[in-house]
Amino acid sequence: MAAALHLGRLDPNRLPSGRELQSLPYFDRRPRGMEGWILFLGRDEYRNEIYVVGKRSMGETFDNLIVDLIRALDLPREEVLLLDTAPLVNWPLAVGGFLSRRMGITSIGRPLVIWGLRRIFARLAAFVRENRPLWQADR
Amino acid sequence: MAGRPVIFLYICPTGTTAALAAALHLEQLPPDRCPPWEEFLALPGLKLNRERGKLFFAGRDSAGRPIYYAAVGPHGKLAGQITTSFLALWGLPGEAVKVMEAGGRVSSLVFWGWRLKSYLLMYWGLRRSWRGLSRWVSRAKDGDGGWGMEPGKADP
Repeated sequence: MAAALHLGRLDPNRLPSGRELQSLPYFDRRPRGMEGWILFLGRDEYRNEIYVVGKRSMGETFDNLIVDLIRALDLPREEVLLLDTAPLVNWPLAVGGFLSRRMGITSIGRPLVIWGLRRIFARLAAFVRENRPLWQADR
Repeated sequence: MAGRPVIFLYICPTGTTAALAAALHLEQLPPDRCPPWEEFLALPGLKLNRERGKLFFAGRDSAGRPIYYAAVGPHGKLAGQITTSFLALWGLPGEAVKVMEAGGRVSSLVFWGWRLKSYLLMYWGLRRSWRGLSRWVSRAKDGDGGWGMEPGKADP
């Protein structure tokens, strides 16, 4: 949802409906075992490429791995911006995601995910807005 | 990026087995026998608290390939998938970084020794799995010469 807000696919000033959320790419539809695959979502108005990745409970392990891979491969560090939305995940999202994706019980899990997402929508919109200067800089 | 050798990345939950696998790869440890207890305690990779996800450079092997190791907690498979898909973003082939999961190659005593902060238990586990680990490293090592380069030639 943060990536969708970044790409302007969701209006940050209006709470999206469940149907709108369900129409987002990869929304609660990523096949099991696909965590860790970095998925392309689109380009923003500055031609930045936007990706999403599920990292389960990796926390800082993920950031360390990416940053050190960049260094080991001698890639330009400034071209990668990691934005971690995990601290915003609430219990309905965590439980709903587990039921839906891990257990395959979408009938219970998906409504929970939608409820959880709608509850943190304002905070996610603020998160994207506050970080915007990071990718707007020097553009 | 052409002409680069493969980067070997040994991973395991704690980093200890991965560090030993890297040392075996670099021929810093004998492949046929676990080092004696005193030598084991002096091994540079033997550290109980290692920052997860960080890549530690162990050295370059005889073919000039860089060897790294990392602790990744219980996320070995995830770390492999992240690495492979991250390479694809840059147009790099998946084999540019060879992620080798070393944790499953040793007795679970090594892991429990780490959890209980018992070097003795870790050592016991390693002694039991040493040959298997070194055979696995040897196979991994001989498996690939590099990408974008002629076999057997390292980058300058």
